[in-house]
Amino acid sequence: MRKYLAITKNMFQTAIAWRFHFFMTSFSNIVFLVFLYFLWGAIFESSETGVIRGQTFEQVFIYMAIVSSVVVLFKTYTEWEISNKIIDGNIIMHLIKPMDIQLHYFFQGFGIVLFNLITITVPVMIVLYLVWGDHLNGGTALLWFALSALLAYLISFLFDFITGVVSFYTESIWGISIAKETIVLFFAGAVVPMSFFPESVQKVLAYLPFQAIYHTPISLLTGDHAVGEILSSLGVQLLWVIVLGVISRLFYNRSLKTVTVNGG
Amino acid sequence: MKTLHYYIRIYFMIISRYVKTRMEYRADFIISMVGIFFRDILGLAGLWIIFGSIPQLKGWSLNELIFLYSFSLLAMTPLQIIFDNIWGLRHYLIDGSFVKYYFRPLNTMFYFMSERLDIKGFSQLGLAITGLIYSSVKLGIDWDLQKLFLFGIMFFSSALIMISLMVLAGATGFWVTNSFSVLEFTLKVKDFARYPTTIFTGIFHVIFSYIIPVGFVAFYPLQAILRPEEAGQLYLLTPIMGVGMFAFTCFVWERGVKSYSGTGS
Repeated sequence: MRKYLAITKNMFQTAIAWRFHFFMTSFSNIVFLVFLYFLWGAIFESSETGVIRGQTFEQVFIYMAIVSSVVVLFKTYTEWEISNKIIDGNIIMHLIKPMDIQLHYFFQGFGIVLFNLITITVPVMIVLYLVWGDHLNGGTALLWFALSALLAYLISFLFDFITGVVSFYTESIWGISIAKETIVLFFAGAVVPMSFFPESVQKVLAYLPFQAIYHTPISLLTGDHAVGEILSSLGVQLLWVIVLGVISRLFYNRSLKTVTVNGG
Repeated sequence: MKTLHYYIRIYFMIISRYVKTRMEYRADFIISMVGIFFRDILGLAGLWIIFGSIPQLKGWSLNELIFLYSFSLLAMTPLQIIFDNIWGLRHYLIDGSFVKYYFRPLNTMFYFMSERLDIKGFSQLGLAITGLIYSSVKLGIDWDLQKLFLFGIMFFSSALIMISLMVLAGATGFWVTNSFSVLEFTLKVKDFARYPTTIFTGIFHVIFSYIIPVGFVAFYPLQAILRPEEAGQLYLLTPIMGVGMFAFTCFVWERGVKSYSGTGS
């Protein structure tokens, strides 16, 4: 009897540990939103017209609030998972298993995304819609957003996957992970809104995949968009999914061939 | 009571062994330095972009914000270089290997932290100093002996506050085991130090000034250097905050160590 109770206790403690983690992450996100509210409030205070780069405080704050919630949503630490497996050699297990490695990590990460969605993103979205609903699009826009967010997650996942695979060459992940994270967030309009970037920079960024992760899906929730425009944005996302998908697979297969696995 | 001399000798013994092993991972070393560099430089880029659209933030100019940012980075450097092992604490607590720290006649926090020296933190130091020099020149600050002395004290105090915040966050691991999310929370919050604390109003102004005192990391102490006419007396609290928080941190750590050994591994 005792050993079964031990298993139950173990699962319970694991569940509690995870619950604490998600509670803390939600709390952390909320605190960050408070900070965003004050920071952007102060920024807009310095503008005489109350409009900066064509946007009001409400528009920018809501945008940044949703962005930060989506950033948390997509944070699955997949690159760490993969990197750790490579470093300790257990990546070998994936060669033996019949399941495709990318699918394996995708679904694993997706589980975390779903949990994040329920515990963090949805509550924040509900509050935002309740308080600032007139600034946000509802109805079909939410469906387009969901579709765009799914594509965005795919792109984010592929970035994480590629980053993880790099550890075949570097034996560590921290530096690359941090560099990837800060670069992606910065150029995806998650640190400062896209509209704040100089025009010339915005033009260049339109050709890069970063904004397809955050800017594209979230912009569907604010402002007016013709269906044609929405479809072309989704098309661009899909294109990046395919391009990155191909690159990631090629890179992974290449890396596998040149591997030196720690511990044989 | 062990002497300071003894601790210094031991510290260098431990870290030199560690540095030698780390140096074998050359790629890791360089990449980490690059990673930190990107993170810090993009922070500056963000400031630069925001100031492309506004003239000042709560009355502070871009160069003053750069000074604030660089000083926060500088204050973070001792934490980054010396106390980085706090991120590893949860692994030792989960698998029980933390007990090894009980067996040596050394202060546990000292012993634990000395096992990891984060060399990439020097990349951060470089950027911080560059930013400070740049903004200092742009602002035309007259560095007399008094200002330098003040700067030194404020740096020391701010570094203690940063260290205290993170180590306290990690120390929650003694009770909740996996303190990762608390560390990540603190990582986010400590960045609030880069902005004038005056952006917060009401209860939040109180919280970020006195409870999670990011205001005392950069804004309040630097008011005395950048805007002495406005500064008032508040900056004088900075060393008290620093030393007080660190003492509290050591206390919590010791309690944590006792609590952990009580429940066993």
